[in-house]
Amino acid sequence: MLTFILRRLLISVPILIGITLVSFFIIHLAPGSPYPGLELNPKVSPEVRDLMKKAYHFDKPLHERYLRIMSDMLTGQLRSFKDDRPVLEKIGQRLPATLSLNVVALVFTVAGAIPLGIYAARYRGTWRDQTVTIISFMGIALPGFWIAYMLLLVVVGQLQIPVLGLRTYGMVDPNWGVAAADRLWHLFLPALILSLGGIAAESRYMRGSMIESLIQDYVRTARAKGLPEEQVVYKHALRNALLPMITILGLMLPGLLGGSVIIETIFAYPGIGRMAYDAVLSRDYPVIMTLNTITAALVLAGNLIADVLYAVVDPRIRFE
Amino acid sequence: MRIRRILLAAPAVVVAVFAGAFLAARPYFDDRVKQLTMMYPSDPEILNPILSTTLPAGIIQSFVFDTLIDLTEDLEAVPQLAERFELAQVTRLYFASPEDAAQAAGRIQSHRDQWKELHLRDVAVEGDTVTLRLGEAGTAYQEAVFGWIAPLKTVPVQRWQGRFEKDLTFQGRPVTSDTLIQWIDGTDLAKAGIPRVLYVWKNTSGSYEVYTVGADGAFVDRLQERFARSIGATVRPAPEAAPAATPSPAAAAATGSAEPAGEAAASPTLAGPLEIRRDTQWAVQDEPVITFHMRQGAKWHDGQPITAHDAEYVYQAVMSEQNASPRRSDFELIRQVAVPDDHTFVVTYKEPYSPCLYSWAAMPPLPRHLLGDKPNLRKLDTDFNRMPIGSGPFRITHWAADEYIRLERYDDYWAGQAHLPAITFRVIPDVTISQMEFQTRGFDYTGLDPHQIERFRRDPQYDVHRYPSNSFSYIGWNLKRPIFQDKRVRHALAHAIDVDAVIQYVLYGNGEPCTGPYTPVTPWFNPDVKPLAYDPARARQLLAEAGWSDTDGDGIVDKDGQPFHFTVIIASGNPIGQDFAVLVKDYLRAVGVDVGINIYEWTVYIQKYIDVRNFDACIMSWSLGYDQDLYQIWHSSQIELPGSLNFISYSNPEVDRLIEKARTEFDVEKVKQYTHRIQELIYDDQPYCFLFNRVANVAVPKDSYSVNRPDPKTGEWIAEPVRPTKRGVTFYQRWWVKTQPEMAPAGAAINVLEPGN
Repeated sequence: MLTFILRRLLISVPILIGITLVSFFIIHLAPGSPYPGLELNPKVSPEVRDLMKKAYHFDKPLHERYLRIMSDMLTGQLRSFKDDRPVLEKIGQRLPATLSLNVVALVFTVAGAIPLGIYAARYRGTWRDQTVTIISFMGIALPGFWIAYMLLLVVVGQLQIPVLGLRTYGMVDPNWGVAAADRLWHLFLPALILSLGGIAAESRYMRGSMIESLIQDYVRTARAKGLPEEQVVYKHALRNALLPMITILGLMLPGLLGGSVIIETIFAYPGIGRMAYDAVLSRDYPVIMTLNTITAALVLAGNLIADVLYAVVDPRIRFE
Repeated sequence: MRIRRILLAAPAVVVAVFAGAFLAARPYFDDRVKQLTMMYPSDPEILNPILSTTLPAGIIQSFVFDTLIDLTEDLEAVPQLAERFELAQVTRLYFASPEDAAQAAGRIQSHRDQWKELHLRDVAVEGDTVTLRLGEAGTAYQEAVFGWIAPLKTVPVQRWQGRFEKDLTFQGRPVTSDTLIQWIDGTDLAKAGIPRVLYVWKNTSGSYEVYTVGADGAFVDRLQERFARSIGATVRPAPEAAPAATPSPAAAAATGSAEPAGEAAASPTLAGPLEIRRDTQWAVQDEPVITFHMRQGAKWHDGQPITAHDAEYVYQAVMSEQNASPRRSDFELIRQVAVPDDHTFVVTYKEPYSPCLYSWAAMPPLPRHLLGDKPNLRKLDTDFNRMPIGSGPFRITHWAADEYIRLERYDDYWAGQAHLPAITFRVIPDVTISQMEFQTRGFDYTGLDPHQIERFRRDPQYDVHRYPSNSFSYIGWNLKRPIFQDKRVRHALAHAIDVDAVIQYVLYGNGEPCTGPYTPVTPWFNPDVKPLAYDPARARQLLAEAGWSDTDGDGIVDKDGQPFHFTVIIASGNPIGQDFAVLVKDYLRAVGVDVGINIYEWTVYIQKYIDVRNFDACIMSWSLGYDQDLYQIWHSSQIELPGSLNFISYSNPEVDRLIEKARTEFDVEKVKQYTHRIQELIYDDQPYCFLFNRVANVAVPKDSYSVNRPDPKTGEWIAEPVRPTKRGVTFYQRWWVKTQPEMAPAGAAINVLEPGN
């Protein structure tokens, strides 16, 4: 087991380096400069633009810039082009907002998808199953931004309830309890929208794997020996049906940090997704590179964790 | 069954928790209506005025920082952190001999009765130099003084630009004015009667500017050789404005034109490892001097007094190469700054440049006691770039990236406390959502897109204010393309487009036809220039006069077998420009001109097309400052400079001359004469098809704010409703008062509050 983990970690290193190389050259192949605001500004002479380029090493050859960016990144000294703050500090500042939103969304997803999947599987083929199926497919088919706009039209447009951002702006002297409640409330709608697609999709997986469990021999045995249906479903069938969910949850790990650009933009939510999007638009290469690398590392880690968890929960799986 | 209960309870618990949170916070939701909240679509990134480049940063800085001087809504300079300021000038006249100088000084002395109207205060003579002190800056005195001293002539003053592979040193020290003069004195150049070197200046691009008296080409050859020997470089002399009779084949091929490369010769290339070229020559050396007398009693937000040293620090910080400040160009023309005492700040310019005052209205002093020892402002170990200690009526108390910035009133503000206790700036990137949020009073002021205006105007809850914006849209014709070189063709194209109709279709009427490079917001605008009328018949006639007629009957006019076809390029993210391009295509098709449209992403647009002049026509807008200087955009010297802004290659000697005059003249009335003429000439040349000046529309909730402000000139307090000024609705926002509807019903007089209450 340990050798398996070590081997996987070792293989990850060249993969990560390859990913940074590819992403570095792709973003530098795209035309553009980090100073779009300074082009065509009569108050900024071409000489001043050159000076700024020099300050950010744009006068150096590409491979030298790659090495510099990577070494700065590994030593934590990489600074954003836009505001010259350390990239890690910038990301760290957004981490609580992004993590809290995505954790709540994950809770919504799990709390919604698993019961829904079980329900549909138990009543497989009946009108109940079909209703759940139709709703799920609607959830998958409808784009999140559209649902968000429709919800906001009602909640903000008609009911005039503040939901944008992290908190209500302009509350006069709220005590900490109110402030915390307000922050929690502001998580509700974006997390709900973020989880809708997840609930719809995961509940389909859950239904499928539950159905598969329910036709297994041991389930028939359990029913045959006269166990109550509840116990058959929730004890014997469910345990095995949950196994594939581990993979799916492992794949959701990078999503915890990545967030959603569109939902964060619509809800004016200051998360990492929006920072990444703005960084791409303004060619803030250090931020793009760092986020790409972190995401890549998380994908690799998520896969590894899922594999390991498999072995932990399923004694039949062994790594040689 | 436990598992089942947990599974069922989980969603219910989640819903209950959030419902509880909502109910707990709900009573506080309405507090937001009592606050002034502003909205911006993006984060300001940096709030340090030396480094910031974003629009929201500029707006927030205007609340947090005061500048030495301020511009009123009519663009008059008024004191702010400087209690008063004086403009003066030191002018030096160099003569061939001390005798000539003494004689000239005597003649000037004898006209003492006329000194006053010329603002001449003092004349001194020292050796071959006569020094005039003027109580005003500019070149207005010259005509009279040159008349008095005639037939004596001054020895002209030159500026040379030198570019070297590495920094010059003399005896191990970097070359400055002193060392260079010392060095020349020690060589045979001195014996050969070498002219005087006034001073040496190293500018942003790393080149040296050498100011000399009476130097000619021979001097430069020898100086160049000396420099080369001192740094061990090879000399590759640049041809000094050698008239190029034939265009270089490469240039002709690149532009597809065969015009004589007259402009190319005017700006020699800077390719050699070492070269010196003549830049400019003046009859005399004029050095404008601004003296700022600092207001006593003004304090930084940390309680320290604001002194002249803080103003001096800004200059040093902007000019520091390590800071790589985008504001540097504004300060390049300063020769030196001095602080004779804590309350006096003296700036001396290298040459007359009248918009220099505007740069002090844009750049605030910064606290030297906090930043003075920081070598690189981009890598500060303090939080100054995000939450700067300022000097204005509001201080920054909270900042959350991409979320909000909160300003609170600074109680020790020198001009009296602001009325609002706090202002919050929110970031809402999505336009649709921000409009919804505005209607719930989530913020209190919003700019409106043309299609939103009618809706808000009909809504009784809002006041919609209109004011002309300081920007204009145009189609730029690339004058290096042969098809646009005939003025008749450019006039024909202007006659072919119905600008009024376009303003109706695209802007829903929120624009005015544009008649030149100045907008009606500035005093430089000439109201007598009338827009070319929409007249397709006239357009066809002009095209025919220029030799374009439809000989093959395909509906497209042609000349020498070539159909009149060109491509107009637009940057993406400019929906109004794109709508407009389609209409233009239609209008021009009607007079037999075929137009293609290409859309590119902004950076591609600039780098691959505009910067390298690789386009036929472009649709763009200028949103410029308030000064009169058009040098970068319209002066012919800018044509060949890489990345410069005269990308359509406009050249008109009379416009060049007037632009030079306008930027060296300090008398507003005279500047107006020049700019009015510039506008006539440029509009008649039609190098752009000038389209429209946008009219900005903003909405504020009705009767929720008013203004109570001190008059910047008299200090008296003025109470008035929020109204659109030439510089926008928020121009007086630092003095906004929250009016309670019951206190001041619509139409009633607003209570005048005493400042500080």
